[in-house]
Amino acid sequence: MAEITCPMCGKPNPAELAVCQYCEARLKPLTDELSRSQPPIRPGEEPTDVDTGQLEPILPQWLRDIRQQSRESADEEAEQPAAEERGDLLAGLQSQSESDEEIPDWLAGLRSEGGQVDFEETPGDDDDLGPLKSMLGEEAPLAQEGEDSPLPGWAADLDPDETEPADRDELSSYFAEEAPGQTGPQTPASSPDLGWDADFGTESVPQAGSTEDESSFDTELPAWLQDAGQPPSDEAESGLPAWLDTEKPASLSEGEVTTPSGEGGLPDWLASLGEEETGETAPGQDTESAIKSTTDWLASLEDETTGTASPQEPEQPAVEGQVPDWLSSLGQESPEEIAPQETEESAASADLPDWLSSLAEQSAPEEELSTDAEAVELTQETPESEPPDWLATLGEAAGETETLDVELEALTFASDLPAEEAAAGPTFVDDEGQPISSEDVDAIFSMDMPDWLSDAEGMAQRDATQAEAEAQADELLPADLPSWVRAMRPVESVISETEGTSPEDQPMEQHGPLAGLRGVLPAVAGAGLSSKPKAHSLKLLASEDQLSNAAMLEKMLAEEVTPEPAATQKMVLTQRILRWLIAALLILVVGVTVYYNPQINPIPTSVPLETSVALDYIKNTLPANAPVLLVFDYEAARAGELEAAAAPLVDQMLTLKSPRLSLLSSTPTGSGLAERFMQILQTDREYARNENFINLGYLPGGAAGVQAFSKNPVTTKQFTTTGEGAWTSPALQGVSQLSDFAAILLLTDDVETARIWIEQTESDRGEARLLVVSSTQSGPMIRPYVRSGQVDGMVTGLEGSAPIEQSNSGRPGMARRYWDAYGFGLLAAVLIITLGSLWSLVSSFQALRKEQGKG
Amino acid sequence: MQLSPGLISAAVSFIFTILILSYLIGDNPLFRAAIYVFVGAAAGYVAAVAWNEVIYPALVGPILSGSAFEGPVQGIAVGVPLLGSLLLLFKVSPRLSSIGQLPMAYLVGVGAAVAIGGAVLGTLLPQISATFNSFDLVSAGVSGADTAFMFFNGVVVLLGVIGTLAYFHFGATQSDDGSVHRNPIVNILAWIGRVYIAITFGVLFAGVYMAALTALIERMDSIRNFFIQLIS
Repeated sequence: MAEITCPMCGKPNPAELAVCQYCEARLKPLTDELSRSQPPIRPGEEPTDVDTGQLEPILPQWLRDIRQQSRESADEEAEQPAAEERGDLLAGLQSQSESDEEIPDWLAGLRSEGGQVDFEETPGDDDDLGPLKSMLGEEAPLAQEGEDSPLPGWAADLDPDETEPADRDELSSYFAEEAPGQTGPQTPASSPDLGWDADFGTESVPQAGSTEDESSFDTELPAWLQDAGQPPSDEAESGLPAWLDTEKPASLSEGEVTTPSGEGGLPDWLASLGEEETGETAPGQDTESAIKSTTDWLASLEDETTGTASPQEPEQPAVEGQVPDWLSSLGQESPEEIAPQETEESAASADLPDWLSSLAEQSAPEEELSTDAEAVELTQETPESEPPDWLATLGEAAGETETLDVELEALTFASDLPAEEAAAGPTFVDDEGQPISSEDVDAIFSMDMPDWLSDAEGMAQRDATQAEAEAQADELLPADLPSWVRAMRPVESVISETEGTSPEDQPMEQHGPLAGLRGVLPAVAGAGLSSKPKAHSLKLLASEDQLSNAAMLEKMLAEEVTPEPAATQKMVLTQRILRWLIAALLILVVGVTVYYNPQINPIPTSVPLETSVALDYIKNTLPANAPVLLVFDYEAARAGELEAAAAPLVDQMLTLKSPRLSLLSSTPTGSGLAERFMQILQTDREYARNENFINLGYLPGGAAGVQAFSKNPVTTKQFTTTGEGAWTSPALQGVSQLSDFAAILLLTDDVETARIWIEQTESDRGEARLLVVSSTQSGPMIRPYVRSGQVDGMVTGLEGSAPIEQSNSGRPGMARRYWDAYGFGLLAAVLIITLGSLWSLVSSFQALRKEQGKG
Repeated sequence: MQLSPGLISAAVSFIFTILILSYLIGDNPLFRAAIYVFVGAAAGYVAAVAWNEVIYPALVGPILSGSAFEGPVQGIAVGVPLLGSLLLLFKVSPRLSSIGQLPMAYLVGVGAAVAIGGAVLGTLLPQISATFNSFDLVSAGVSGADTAFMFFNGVVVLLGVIGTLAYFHFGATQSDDGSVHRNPIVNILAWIGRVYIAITFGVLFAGVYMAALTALIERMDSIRNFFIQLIS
């Protein structure tokens, strides 16, 4: 069973389903049937008639509106004789012609009913598309006259096989319509703006026979031009393209041109054309600039025709590129067949816009349009009007003939001429009169032409074969899509069409590694599948080891993000109770001991080596009344310990040597702690400020400050905490540098602070001794400096100061008061740690036994 | 009863001691209140000290007294710190903080230079020398010290230094089978160093405990004195 893979979900579906049974996505594109039935248009192919009814939704709105309107007016059109079938592109135009209010300007001209050219409106109307509109407006009556053909009216008219005479070119009929000179009695004859075409007829200069070249040229001309060159017939209006054929019943003689305002429904290409026409016909505008805006293909044609113009010297220089070539060629080709004829409607033509008046002259009576003898007498010189340059050039090229009878067949191409005339001379010659080659002619017409003009002949032929079969069909029979409509189709449809072709139809690669292969490369660059790519399975082909490793990695990652189980409430409560018990035990032991002060714990008599060195220095070496620097670098939280550790040593020093003390601190709180320390020492001693001691206060800068003070203490610390000059006080007499101090006693609880003072003052201390009183927690880290000799002596904590205090007769007594509590506190800590360790050990054994019992 | 400053100070000390000890029952408002008071008092005290002992005497005083304008030296001594201080004030604004980078760079640079120089000359080289001097048996004999003990002491110190340094040496070699092994000698020394480090941390912990115990004793003594004063 055939299956269709859903482009959206990738799941297989039965082939007969149009919508995916899983995701309800459309399995078949909307244009799929049409794309299969209609092969893609390739370069060089003409579009064929197809039923475009299905494509109506994707048509532009304006096309759909036209179609709708045409349907609504189907009945009215049925009443009209010889309703002409139109292609989808122009379908509905006829019905629109019924109402001036509903049709756009460019379509208004297509009307044939009452197609009077109202030239009065042309100059005054801002829509200067009058000429073009009037030309287009004649299509409607012709369409009514034509057969029921699926082709556009103009294409059907181009069909040489039509029963209607197709041997009349569109311009001949156009001129024939204008010939009666009935155009524009309402138009001011003296309008200078409209006199530019007065010389139009003069371009039809008699020309040496060129029928041969024209015959050869005929095969290379665009189809519409070739068709235009078909032998004329009496019923020329049916043989012309509709848009030109309608010129005849336009009733130019009535001098009325319907110029409905507004161009809302006008396609761009027609709008631009209308603008160009406007520029050409608007009064007061520069005709040169307007003419320059004509299309190139017209200009090139004009060049060629100018080259084939009369050998007579033009009076005015030719303005190349300003004349529509097709007009210039009209006036120059077949000059021989233009029978001179006096114009009889010169006055009437003067009333018309010049170019239209000339057209009217050319159109002449309709009876004269059907054969070669029919001609239009064109007035070249009209005093009341000033022809534009490009028409003036035409007039000059025509040999300054004042009035010329333009034979309509002469305005056509060689195919319209007899063979003898065709062989008389080439159609296109260069400036020197030499015939140009067919390649040059190709170059002339190698312009981008609209689709509806590019292959009108072929379309007409095909339409003719289908005319009978489709005669009874709906007048809106679906015609082949224009190429521009096909270009608007989704890319998928084009690709599907391309994919549907057989490999034999695909072009074979001629070069490269793909040479010899068919259909391996897209015909259009960039045309790739725009649909969703086919879904592929994401399942990896992994081995067992890889899967196991992946599982292991996944497990590891999962363990990383898995939160640890929170401790149970029982455990938290136990820890809190244990903490309370320990705290209570310590507070009880210390508090009771301090409160009762039993002094049952003896103070050791032996002291550490560094402490004995410091004590020995103070007792024996320190000079009396020597300046001593005391540095208080500890935090307030450690004040209890440091004061108890330093007080015995300092008190003994003060008792024995009465040194002049200088207090300094490298911490902001140090100066206050120094004052507090001095209060402890002065309980039973007279030690006057600035006499026996001085407080230098806070030394900022950290290590840099210490170094600065070590290098130059006088400038670094100039004032005391009371704002007095420090170095002029008696306490600092004879001291100008650090080495002048007999000793530096550092009280610190921090290793870093001690290291700074040791490092930064080492080179500047000289003979001054550095003694350190440290906290118990920092003592072990400072001891290496004692062992290295950088520190002369050190007292660490209460265990270092107690022996000193004992040797100092128990002064000040702090160590002794703390010693019992200190000892019991340590004992309590030892007991707690021991009990805790035993508890942990027992718990471990119990857990081990449980595990062994389980095992 | 007459409230003496000592009694008031003792009472305040007693109250705050109790508030801090309330942390035993966990974090509570009383403890936080005491902490806030301590932090605020410390900050205020530091600010006052900085103004009274640094800013005013070294910067504002010379300007007000005119001594900063007595000569170029005095001017520079006052102007440079003043300029640096003003530039540092821009650090308050995040948008203008880049202006304060100059004095900050100066301070950091000077601080780093002082610290490195002091560490090399004041700690590293002297400590290396002291390690060598542990084996100076001649000097030990001259001073009358026990040379055997000195030698043993020197060995212990040297072994501790080398062992500790070896413990922080993480170099290893890769064998043929791809496994990474530490050098056996380095491994042994690292093990010895680990023992030394463990002992050192034990000593530090003991020192911290003894320091804290001393502080507790001092607080208990303070409370005792408060009650004695209160009773008396």
